[in-house]
Amino acid sequence: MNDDPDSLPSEYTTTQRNDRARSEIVRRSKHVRHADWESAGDILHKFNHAIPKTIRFNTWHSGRCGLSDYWLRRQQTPNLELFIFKTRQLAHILRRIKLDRVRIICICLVTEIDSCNLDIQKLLKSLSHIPAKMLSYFRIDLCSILFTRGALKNLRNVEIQNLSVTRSLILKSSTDLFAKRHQLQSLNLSGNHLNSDEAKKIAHSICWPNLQSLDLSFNCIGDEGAKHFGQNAT
Amino acid sequence: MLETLILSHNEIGPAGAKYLSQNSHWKNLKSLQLNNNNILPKGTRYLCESEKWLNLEDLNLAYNMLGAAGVECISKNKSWSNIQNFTLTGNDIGDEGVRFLAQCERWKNLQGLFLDSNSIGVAGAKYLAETTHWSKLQQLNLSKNRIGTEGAIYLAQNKSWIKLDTLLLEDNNIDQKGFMHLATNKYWNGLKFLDVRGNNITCSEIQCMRENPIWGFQLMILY
Repeated sequence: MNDDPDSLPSEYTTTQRNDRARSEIVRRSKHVRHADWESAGDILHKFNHAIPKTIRFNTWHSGRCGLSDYWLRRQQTPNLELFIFKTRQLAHILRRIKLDRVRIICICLVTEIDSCNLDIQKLLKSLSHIPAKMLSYFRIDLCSILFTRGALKNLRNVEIQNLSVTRSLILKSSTDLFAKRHQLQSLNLSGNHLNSDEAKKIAHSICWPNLQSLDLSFNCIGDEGAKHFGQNAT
Repeated sequence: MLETLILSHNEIGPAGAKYLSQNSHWKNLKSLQLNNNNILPKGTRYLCESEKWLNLEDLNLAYNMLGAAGVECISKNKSWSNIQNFTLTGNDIGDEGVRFLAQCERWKNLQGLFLDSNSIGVAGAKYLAETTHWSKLQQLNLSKNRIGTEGAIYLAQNKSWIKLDTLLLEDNNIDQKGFMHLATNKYWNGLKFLDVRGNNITCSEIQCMRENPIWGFQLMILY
């Protein structure tokens, strides 16, 4: 198979062309330095003039790359999915984001002392100023307690449909941040060392009329915790 | 209304199972994951006494030290007739547990049955093979048991698992004769994946199984 997307025959569909172009980007990225990502946007541009419905924007792979700039310049895209990992260039990227289009945010491996912390908190705070803002999915994984608490506080006024806060020890004195989320459809709090007292607080403070899925695995709620959830009427 | 509840790895014992079973609001519960707790047979009895979870489709009770007594309680439950996936991995249910399980004639929609690491021997394989009510079964995991050659010969005689597409038999001390018999099964006409690692098998038996005209022509054998 020819690896050069430029040489694709004309009968290839747009989807095939996009797939090939993405493969080419991944292939090249394994062999080149980040600076060469500048050309990634150009490659995609050759193959896709359509407006994508969703952009999955991953700061782990993209850094300050041309690819992210390329996507973010395409203001017509309705949905933005942000996957934020530690990156020194986050402010540079976030300045270009159309906040009202962000639907999904996943944050991994960030502490309050990381340089990107303030940028992320600023982004989340800005989201809460958008009237009737709704996130379909917000996830925090393997972040510090203080960072996570700050993030949830900043998102207090943003409705979230699917919320996942995992392996971040968040529950200590933070149950109020989960309490009144009426649009919540799924909640994942696995791996937070949640004990029976915290389980009790959650079970008795929650008001999640739309909740369909609750994941409390890898905690230690024990029989007492189970008791309080058993008594919950959600 | 809650449809999925995942409480695995939470140090929940019989008392916790009792409290959960008393919840009368989870009428739409479809998936309950309680694996890796300490439910024990006593806790299983409490769970099974609850007759409110009529829509339960996916139940995971792996690694809860249930033993045969726990499975006996499960077999007596009358409300879980919609079960599609049932996981009992690592509960040491033995042949006696399988005997109780095989009596669950109400589970007409069962599609996945996961019984790996349960000290199941020849008799257990025979009980399973003789079931006639699980015609929708697609996945059967019997890995890491003690089925042996004789047990494989019984399994080969099964006629009812006409939708079986995945059969996992890893580490069961089955020899060539057992696999030659398995290769003669004429009813598992959708079989696509067979895991036979950790047994005594040669290329000859693999070839025989590949040539089974009934099994899926894209059968993948892991050996």
